[in-house]
Amino acid sequence: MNYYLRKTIIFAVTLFCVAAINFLLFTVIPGNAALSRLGTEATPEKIEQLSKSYGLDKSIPERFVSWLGGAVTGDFGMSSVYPTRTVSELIGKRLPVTAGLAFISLLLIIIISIPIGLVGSKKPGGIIDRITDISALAFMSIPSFILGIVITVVFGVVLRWFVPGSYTAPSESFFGYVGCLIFPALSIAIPKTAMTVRFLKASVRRELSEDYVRTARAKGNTRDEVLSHHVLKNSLLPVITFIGLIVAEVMAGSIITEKVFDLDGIGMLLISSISKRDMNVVQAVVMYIAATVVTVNFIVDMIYRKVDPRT
Amino acid sequence: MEKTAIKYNKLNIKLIIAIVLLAVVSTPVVLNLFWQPYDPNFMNYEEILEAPSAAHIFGTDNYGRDIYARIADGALLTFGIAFITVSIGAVIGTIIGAVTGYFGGRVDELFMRINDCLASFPSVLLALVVVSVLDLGTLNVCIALGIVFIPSFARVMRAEFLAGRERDHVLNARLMGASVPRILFFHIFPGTLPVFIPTVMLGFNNAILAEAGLGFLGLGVQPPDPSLGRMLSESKTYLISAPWYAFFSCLFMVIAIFAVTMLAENIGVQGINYRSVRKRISRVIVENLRKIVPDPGKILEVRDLRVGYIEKEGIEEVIKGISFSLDKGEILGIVGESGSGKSLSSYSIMGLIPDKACMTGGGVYLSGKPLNMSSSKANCRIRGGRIAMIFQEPQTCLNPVLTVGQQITEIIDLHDPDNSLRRAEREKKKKERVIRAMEDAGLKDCEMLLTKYPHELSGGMRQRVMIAMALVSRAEVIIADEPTTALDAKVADAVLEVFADINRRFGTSIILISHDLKVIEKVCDRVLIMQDGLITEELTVGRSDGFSTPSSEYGKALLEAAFSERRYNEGEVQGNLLCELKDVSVSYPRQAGTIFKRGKLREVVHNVDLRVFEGETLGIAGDSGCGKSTLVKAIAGLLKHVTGEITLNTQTPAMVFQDPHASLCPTMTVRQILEETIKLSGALKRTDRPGIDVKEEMIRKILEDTDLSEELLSRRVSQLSGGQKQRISIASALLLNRKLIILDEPVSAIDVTLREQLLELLCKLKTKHGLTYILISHDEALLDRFCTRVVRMSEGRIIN
Amino acid sequence: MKKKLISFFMILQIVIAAALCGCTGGTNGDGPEQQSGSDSSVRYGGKITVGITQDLDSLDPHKAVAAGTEEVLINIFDGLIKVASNGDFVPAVASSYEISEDGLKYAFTLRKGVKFHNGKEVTAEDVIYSLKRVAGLDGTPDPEVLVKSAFSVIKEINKTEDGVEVILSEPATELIGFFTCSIIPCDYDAQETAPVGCGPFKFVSYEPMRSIVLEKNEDYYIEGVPYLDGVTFKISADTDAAFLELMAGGIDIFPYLTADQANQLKERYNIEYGTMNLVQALFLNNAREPFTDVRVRQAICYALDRQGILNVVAEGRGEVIGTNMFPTFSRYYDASLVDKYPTDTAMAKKLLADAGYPDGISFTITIPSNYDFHVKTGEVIVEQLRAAGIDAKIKLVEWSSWLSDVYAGRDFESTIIGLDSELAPSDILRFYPSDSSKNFINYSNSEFDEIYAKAKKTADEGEKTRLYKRLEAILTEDAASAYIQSPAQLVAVNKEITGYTFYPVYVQDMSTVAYLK
Repeated sequence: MNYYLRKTIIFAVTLFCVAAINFLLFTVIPGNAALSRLGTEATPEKIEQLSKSYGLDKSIPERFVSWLGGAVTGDFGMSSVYPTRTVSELIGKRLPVTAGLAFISLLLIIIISIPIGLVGSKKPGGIIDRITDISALAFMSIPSFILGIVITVVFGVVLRWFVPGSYTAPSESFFGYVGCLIFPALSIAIPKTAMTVRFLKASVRRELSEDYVRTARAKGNTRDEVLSHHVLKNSLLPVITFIGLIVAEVMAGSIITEKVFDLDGIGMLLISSISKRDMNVVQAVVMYIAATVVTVNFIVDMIYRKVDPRT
Repeated sequence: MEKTAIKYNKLNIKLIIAIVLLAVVSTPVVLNLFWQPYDPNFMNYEEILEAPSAAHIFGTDNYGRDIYARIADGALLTFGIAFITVSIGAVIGTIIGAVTGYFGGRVDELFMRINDCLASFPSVLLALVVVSVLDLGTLNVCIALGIVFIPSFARVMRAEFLAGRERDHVLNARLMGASVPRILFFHIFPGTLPVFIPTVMLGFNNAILAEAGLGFLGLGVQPPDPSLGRMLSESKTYLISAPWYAFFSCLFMVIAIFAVTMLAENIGVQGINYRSVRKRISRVIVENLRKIVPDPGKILEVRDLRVGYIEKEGIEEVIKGISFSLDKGEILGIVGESGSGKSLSSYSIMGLIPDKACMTGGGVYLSGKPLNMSSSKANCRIRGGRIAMIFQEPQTCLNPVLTVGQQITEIIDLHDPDNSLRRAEREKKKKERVIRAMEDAGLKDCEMLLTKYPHELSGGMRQRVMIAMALVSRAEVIIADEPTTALDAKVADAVLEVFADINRRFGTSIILISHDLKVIEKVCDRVLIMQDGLITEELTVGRSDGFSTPSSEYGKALLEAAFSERRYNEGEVQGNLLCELKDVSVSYPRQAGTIFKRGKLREVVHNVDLRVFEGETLGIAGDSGCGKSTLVKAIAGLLKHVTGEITLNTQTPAMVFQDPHASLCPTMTVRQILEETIKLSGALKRTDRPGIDVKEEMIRKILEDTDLSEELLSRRVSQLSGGQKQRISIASALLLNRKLIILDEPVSAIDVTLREQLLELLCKLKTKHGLTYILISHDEALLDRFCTRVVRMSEGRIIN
Repeated sequence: MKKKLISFFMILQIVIAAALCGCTGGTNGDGPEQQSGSDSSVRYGGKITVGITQDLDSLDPHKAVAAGTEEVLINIFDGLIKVASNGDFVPAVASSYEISEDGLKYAFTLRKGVKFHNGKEVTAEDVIYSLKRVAGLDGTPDPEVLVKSAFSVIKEINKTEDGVEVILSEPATELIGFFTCSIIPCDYDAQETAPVGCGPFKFVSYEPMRSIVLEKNEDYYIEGVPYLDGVTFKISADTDAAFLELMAGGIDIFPYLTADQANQLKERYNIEYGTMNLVQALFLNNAREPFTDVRVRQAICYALDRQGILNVVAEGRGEVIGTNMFPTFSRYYDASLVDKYPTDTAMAKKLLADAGYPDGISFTITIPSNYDFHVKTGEVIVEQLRAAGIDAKIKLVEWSSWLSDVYAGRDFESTIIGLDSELAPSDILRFYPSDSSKNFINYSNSEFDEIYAKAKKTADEGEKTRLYKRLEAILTEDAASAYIQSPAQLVAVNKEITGYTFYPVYVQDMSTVAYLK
C-alpha cells in the first residue's frame, strides 16, 4: 500500500507543479484580455476599467492563490471573452467532443494496431512483416493535418459519408455522436496506429530473442503458439506504457484535428482563447489537458503494476 | 558431404533504399545552391496555379511561383529548422540526461518531476506558448521546437547514462581518477551512440512534422519564405483545384522523413533476410538427407550435423559435422570451451537453431526417424514431449508473466490433452501430475509454488521447475545445457543429484552439456570433447576411477586444467597493514527517494571488519549475492551508502572485473585504452621527460609484462579473445601503478585451459611489482590454491 | 433634405421581398424599400445554415465590437432606421424621421405595434434607454458597452408625442447613420445570454464557437417577412474548413470565399459578388523613419502594382482604390485618385534616391496572422517592393498582439489591415485627424485637421462632398499610406435558395432569403 500512497503523493505534487508552471506560462504571454475584448474601439480608460473587472490589476502571486483556490473546487471563474459563461461551462460543453475524439481514436489505435502488429511479426522477414513495416513508416511520415484534409475530401466531399464540421451531441443520438467523430478520430489514430504497430513489432522482436521463447519452443509450442501464449502478454506490457504516452499526443493532436474537421472541442477553445487572451479559459484548459495526461500516466502506472507480476 | 554453398544478398536493401531516397530529396536542395530554374519568390501573375508541365515540372502555386523552385528552397529551410531544433534538443537534453542519470539522487528526482510536468503539456501547446512569447519567426520556431524536444532527449539519455554509470569500464575509469566530465563524455557517451544517433534522426523527423503542424496553425515560418510546412498548409486550400501543389510538397516531406527513419533504423544493421536464406538452404539439406540411413536402435542419433551462422561473408559453419548417438538410459556428457559449439549443437538437436543460423547439413534422428525437418505441429510436439531441454539461465528461461503452475501445466495441455474427462476432473488430474513432477524434481511446498511467478523463486528452484517441466511429459531424452553453471556450488550438486536420480528411476536418457569436467564426472557415463565445432575425443567415465586417458593433446590439457593441483600461494606473508575495515555496512537504495524524502535503503553488507596486509593475496569466498562484490566496490570507493570506517594506507586500489568484455571501453582501441590509463595515472607528470616516448615505452613494457603482442594495439575490444581482454584489463590495472589490486572473479569467464596461464601471470606480476591482491571468487578450490588467506562471506556477513 | 446613397455594385440577379407596405410617409423618409419580385417563385418555411468564421464577441448588440457580430445580430435587432441595399436609410422602428435645417435636432416618429420578441411593445422609453446607453449617457456606464463617440454631441433625448427627439449641442449632419443602432427593451437585463430585440428573427440558442440559432419572428412588423422558419449561423474554424463543409453540403450560405474556392463551387452553388466595404491598405507609420519622408511613402505607392495584387489574391475581383474611402460611398468617393500613383518602379527608385536612400530601404510589415487575406496581400506586396529595391519583411502576429502593439501601442513600421466604418464619411476618415486616438499611423497634417472639423459640421451637401473629396486628395497626395483596394466579397448560396442581399454595410440579412419553390 506504501507504493500506492507514494505514487499518489507524487501524483498530487506533479499536479501542483503543472498548475504552477501553467499559471506562470500564461502570465508571460504578451497581450491583454481587456484590449482584445475592446478591439479597435479601445481607449486607455476603458482598458483599465475592464482589466480591473477581470482582476488583472492584482499581483501575480495574489492571482495565483485565488486561482488555485478556485481551481481546487472546480471553479475557474468567468471567461473574459464570453462574460456570461463560466469557464467550467465552456469546457463542459466541449468536453464530449475532445474526450470522444481521444477515446475513439485510442480505441481505434488499440483495435487496429495490435492485430496488425502481431500478424506482422508472425514471420520475421516475411512479406507481411515487410509490408506492415513500410506502410506504417509511410503513414508516420504524413503530417496529420494533411491526412485529415484527405479524409475530409475523400469521405466527406466525394463519398459523402459524413458532413465535416457537423457535430451531434451524445445526448441526442449516440450513434450520431460516434459517427461524426469517427473520421476525425481516424485521422488522429492513423499515424499513432502506425507508431504503435512499429513499437509493438519491435517489442515482439525483442521478446522473441528472450530465452523463455526458446523454452516455450522446447516445450513443443509451434511458432504461432509461442506468439499467442507466451510472447503476446510480455510484448504488450511495454505497449501499455507506450499508449499512455500516446494519450498526451492524442490530446495535442486533437488541437490540429479539431481545426481541420472544424470540431468545436477543447483544442479549438484553447487556440481561440490564447489568441483572445482569455486567460481563465486558457489556464483551465491547459490544466485540464495536463491533469488528464498526468492522471492517465498515473493509471497506466497502476495498471502496469497490476498486470506485470514482476513489479 | 560437400559444403552447402548458397549465394544470398548481403546488402541491406532498406539501407540502400534509404540512401537512394535521401539522394532524391537532397539533390534538388544541393542543386538549388548553385542553380535555380526560377526565383522561388518570383510571382508570375500570368501563370497562377498551372498544372505540372515542361516549364514548371511541379506546376505553379497560387501566386504563379514555381513549386519546384520553392520546394528546393523550402526543403533547405525546413531541414535547417529541423537540424537546429534537434541540435538544441539533443545538446541540452543530453547534458541534462547525463548529469541527472550519472549523479542520480535528488537532482535526478527533481528533474524527473519537472520532466513529468513538461511532458504533460502537449508539445504543440508548449510550442504555441513559446512562439507567442517570443513572437513568430523562423528562429523562434526553432527555439520553440527545440525546447519542446529537450524533455524527450533528456529522458532517453538519462536512461542511457544511468545504465552506463554502472558499466565496469566506467567504474574502472572512476577508479583511475578520471574527472566527471571526462567520464561522461569520453567513457559513457560513445557507448550511447547506438541509441543517440537513431534518437537524433527520429527527432529530426518529428521536427519536420512539428514544423508542418505549427505552419498549419499559422505559427511557422514567415511568408513569403518557403518551407515545406508552410507550403503544405498553403496548399491545403487548393487541394481540389490544384492537387499537385499539395501532392509534391507532401511527397517531398514524406520521402524525406521516410528515408531518414529508414536510415536511422538500418545503420549498421545487417541486411540479410535470414528467413529466406534458411528456407533455401533447408531445401538443399532435405535433398542430401535422403542418402543417410539412420540406426533405429539408438534413441537419438546425430549424423554429420553441420550448423552455421549466416554472416555477411557467407555461411560460417560453427558445427562442422558432428556424429554421435545416445543409448537408452545413458547419460552422455559433452564438454568443451566457450565457442566450441556445444550449446549450438544441443539447440540444433532440439530444432531450436537461432534465427541467424541455419543447418547446413546432416540430420538428427529420434529412434531412427528424422527430426526437425518441418515446422508442422506434429513435429513441434516432439519437442517437450519426447525430447526435453533444460537451459543454462533459469532466471531468463521461464516466462516472467506466467505462474510456475501455468508453465508446467502447459506441457500437459500441449502433449497430453486428455479430453475424455470432465473439466474439473481433468484439472484435478493435471494438477496431480504437475505436483508429482515437481516433487520428482526435488521441489518442496509444490502446492504453494504453483501460483508463484518465476521471479519469486531462487535460481535453484527455477532450475528444478525447468526439470519438472521435462519430467511431467516423461520425455525419453533430456538435454541439459550447462544446468548448474549459474547456480551456487551446493545447489548445483543437488540439481545434479536430481538428474542422476531421474535417470535411475525412469531410465531417461540425458545429454549433459558443460564446460566443467568435474560436473561431468559426477553423473556421466560417457563424455564427448568438443573443440572448434568438432568432436575430437570420446572418453568413458567411471564412477570410481574417473575419466579414461585421453589420447589427444587437447583432451589432456583440458583434463589437466580441470583437476590442476598447482598452488600459487607458497610461503608466508607478513607485511604492513594496507587497508582496514571497521564495522563497515553497505546499502543500496531500494526505492527511489523523492525530493522531500530520502529513498529507503537496503543493507547488503553488514558490519564487516577486515584487514588487508601488504604482499598477501586475500581471498573472499561466497555464493552469488552474498555481498562480496559490493564489499570490494565499497573498498574501492565506488559506492555511496557506506557506513563504518575504511582506512586505506595506499592509493585507491585498481580493479579487474569478472567480465573482461564489459570492463574495457568498447569504443576504444587497445592503444587508446592503455594511453588513457597512462594519462589518468599521472605517470607522465612524474617523469622528467614526458611525451610520446615515455608513453610508448610504458605500453611496450606492460605488454611484455602481460605476454601480449604489439599487434593487438590497433584492435578494438570486440576483436580480442577472452584471455586477451582479461590481460588488457590486468595491464590497465598495472599501469595505474597501484599497490592494491582487487580481482573480482578474474578467471571465471575464461576458458579452463587459459585459466592456469592467467593465474600464473598474476602470480608473476605480484612478485615482480610487489602487489597485494584481493581475489573474489565463488570457486573455493581456486581460492585455496591462489590465496594466502581466505575469508568467507554469507548473506552480507563475514563468517570465518 | 434627402439622403440618398447610391449603391454602386452589381445587385444580385434576384431581389425579392414583400412590399414593405404600411410604413410609408414621413417628411424626410425615403419611404420603405420597394423591393420588387415575384412571390410566386419562393416559398415560406425551411431552415438554412449560414457559415461564418468569426465567433460573436457578445450577444448584446451594444457590446459587440467585431464586425462579424453585428452582421449576425442585425437579424435579431432593428434600429430606428436601417440601411437599404442601395445605401438609403429607410425607417424601421421609426416610421419616419426629420432632421432640422440647422442640424441640431433629430425627430423620430415611432411605428405603432412594433413588438419585442418577449411580446412587449416598443415604447419611447425603450428607444431613449437604448440611445442613452449607446451614447454613454445612462449614468453608470457598463465598461463593455461601446460608446459611439459620434453621439458625444447629443445634449438630450426627449420623448415626444409620437416618438422621440434628439437634441444636439452642436450641428452634426452625418449623425443619422448612427441611428441604425439596435433598440432594446429598457427593462430587460439578460441581453448577453438571451438577447431580445424586435428584428425579423428571434434568438433561440447560442453556443460559443459553435453556432447561434435563430427562429422566425412571427410578429415581425413587416408583413410577409421573414420567409425562413429558422437560421443557424455555424461558426467555422477558418475558410478552408468551411469550404470543405460547403463541398460536403453542410452549409447553405457562406459569405467569405476566396476566388479560387468560388470557382470550385460554381457547380453546386450560386456565387454572388459584392464588396466587403473595407479600405485595405499598406498602412505606414508616419512617425517612423524612413516613412517620415513623404517621398519614401510615395515611392512605396509607385512601387505597388495594385491591379496585380487584386489579380493574384482575388482573381481581379474587388476595386482598386487610391484613398481612404470605399467606392460604395460613391457620393464622396473620388475615383480619380486611383491613378495618382501608377506602377512605376523607376519613379519609386528615383524618389527613394531623392529622399536619401539610393540603396533602397528595408522595413517590416506587421500583419495579423488570422487574416489570411491580408497575409496573402502582404506576400504579393513584398515581392512587388523587391523589384523596386525595397526590402520588406513580413512579421505575422496574433490579433491580440496586433491590437496591443500596432493599434494601441503604435509600435510598428507598417501593417496591412482593412478599415471598416459606419455609413458616414467622417467615420471612415476618423483615423487621420492628428489628435484622434484612432490615428494609429501617426498621420499629421494641419490642413487635414482643419478641413475634417469643418466638413463634419457642414450641412450643405455639395460643400460637404467637396470638403470630403479634398480630404481624400490630401491623404493621397501625402501618401499617408499605400491604399490598395476595397476587397470583393464572394458569397456561395445554395442553388435552392434565393434572396441573398448585399448592403453597403457589413450585414448578413436573412429576412429576404427564401427557398425557391
